[in-house]
Amino acid sequence: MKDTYILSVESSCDETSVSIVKNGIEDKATSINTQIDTHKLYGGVVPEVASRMHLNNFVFVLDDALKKADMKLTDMDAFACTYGPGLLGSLLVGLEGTKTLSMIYEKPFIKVNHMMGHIYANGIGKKLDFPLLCLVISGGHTDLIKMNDEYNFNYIGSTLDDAIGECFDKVARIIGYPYPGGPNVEAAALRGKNSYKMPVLMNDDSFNFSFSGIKSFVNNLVHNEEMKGNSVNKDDIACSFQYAVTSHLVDKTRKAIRKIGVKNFIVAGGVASNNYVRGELKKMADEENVIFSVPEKKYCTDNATMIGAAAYVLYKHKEYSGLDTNAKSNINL
Amino acid sequence: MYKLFVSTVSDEIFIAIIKDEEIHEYYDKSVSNHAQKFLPLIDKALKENNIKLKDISEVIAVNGPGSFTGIRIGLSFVKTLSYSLNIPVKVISSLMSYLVSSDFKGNKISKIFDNKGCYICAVDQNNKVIIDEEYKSTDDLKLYDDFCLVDQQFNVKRILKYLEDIPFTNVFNVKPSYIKKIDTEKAINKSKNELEYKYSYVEKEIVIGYVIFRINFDVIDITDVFVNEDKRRKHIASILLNEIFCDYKGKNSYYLEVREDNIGAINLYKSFNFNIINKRKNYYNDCDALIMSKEMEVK
Repeated sequence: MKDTYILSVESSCDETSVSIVKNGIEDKATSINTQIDTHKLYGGVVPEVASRMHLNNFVFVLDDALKKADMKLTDMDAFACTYGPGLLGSLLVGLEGTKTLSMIYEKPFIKVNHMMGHIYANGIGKKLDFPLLCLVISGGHTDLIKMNDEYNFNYIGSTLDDAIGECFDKVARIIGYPYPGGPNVEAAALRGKNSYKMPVLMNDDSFNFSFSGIKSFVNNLVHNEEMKGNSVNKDDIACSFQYAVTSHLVDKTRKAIRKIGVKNFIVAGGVASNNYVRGELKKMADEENVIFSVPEKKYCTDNATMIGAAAYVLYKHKEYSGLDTNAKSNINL
Repeated sequence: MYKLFVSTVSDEIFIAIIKDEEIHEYYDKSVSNHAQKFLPLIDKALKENNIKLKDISEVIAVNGPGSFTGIRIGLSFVKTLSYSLNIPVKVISSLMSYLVSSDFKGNKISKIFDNKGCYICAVDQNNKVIIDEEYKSTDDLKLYDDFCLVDQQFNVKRILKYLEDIPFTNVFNVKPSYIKKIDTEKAINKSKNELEYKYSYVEKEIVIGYVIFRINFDVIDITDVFVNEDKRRKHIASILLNEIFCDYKGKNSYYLEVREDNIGAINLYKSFNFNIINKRKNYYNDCDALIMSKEMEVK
């Protein structure tokens, strides 16, 4: 059978990325330009700044990916791009460029949901087995999704308030670590001890999550101590916080695995690059005797490779989109 | 061979396909969503001329100022097209396009209004720029009443004529012209007018505070410090003063005069190690002035 090459683009937040993926499984080449250093100046991602940088970077990144793969645009069978969820202005830059490519070379254009991309980061380099349970943990999502097949998504649980990544970022801000918060909290937690008693997170029978309580708790703790003139041990707070939220993830996921009885469990999303979270989820999976998979770290954070892997599934289902495709800031799978 | 002209900088998407003397224009008016309308219009234009993107041999792109998102939609297309098919690109601003589209012989100005102000640019009868492209608040505009205001219309023929002498832009250097800085970009603008230096603090395009000073050899005389009333107590004066101290580090002494009853200002200067060295009686008519100085810090 002839090989299928998909050129994929990701520009939903602060990373401009282009990738060439073979048969939905092999990363031929990936180029990523991250804007983290710029957004550090502002303490977070500024949408207009991000959009401006995407436009300036896109052609460079495209050129870099093609050179790395030693391929030409004429070799591609389809062009794919994230169309949401994400920052509208940023998404539009990648989307318009990708639609243009599809128009020039008269090949299908495939719009990809960013979250489906995160899930399919698990499909880079290895095949996914179904049915499976997927835990998506990122800056905008904390979802438990059951997949019976490669193009089938059933939400069984979600966060009721903040996403876990958002919670990491906010706690980082409260205790004074700069953007990007997640990695800074993780590093601090390594230096600290689990010495602060954190509140028990929503412990009900549902598969839903809740993180706003712990965020408020940390906020109150830090401010109360400040008012009293006491200093807090930031590293210990980071460690205690990370322990508490990870336990919440593990407990709820364990509950879901037992209830629905799947044999395969995968983790996806930016927070899956956190070593402690990865380790604890793996430990739980081993205890529950399910097959565990988490993407390589470089595929956990935003990248175009995962978009290419997901696009291949859509390509097989002939889920093509038109030139009038618009970006959407907020969509579900 | 075909040339393609595209503009997405306003709520009108404008496309022209040019073959020799023949110009076919396509437009979509009052577009609220450029992403949904732009490529379908390109597609329609190509189909009606029975050509494909591969048949385009030159692109002329309007790169702003105007709608930020609109600009990016158009340029994302142009850059991708130019990169993929190696098509040369010429870039022209929206203001300049409107100016050269007008056949008025004399000084003329083009204006693009947004909710807070206006982008302007003016040229003389030979299309030589008299006023560079800039963003003005609406109050400043009456200054230009003696210029002829041109319509916001494209005359592709005249634009092409004007661009004959303008070189192509490398695709990697095709950049949008937003003119306006981003809201979050708080900038300190530095300017010099004869002997006076002025450092202004700009937020959302508006000057909200400034410091004026003169340099006499190694003495810096701060003659005016001002911050808008509603923006006080936000450390803006400190930021501006600090900027001066950083720029002229270690080789100057500073002098300034301050009203004796302006406690806030005196404390601010004290925090920068200014000392009161003298007093001028009735300097401000109703109030004495304190002379404060800060000696150079030698390390």
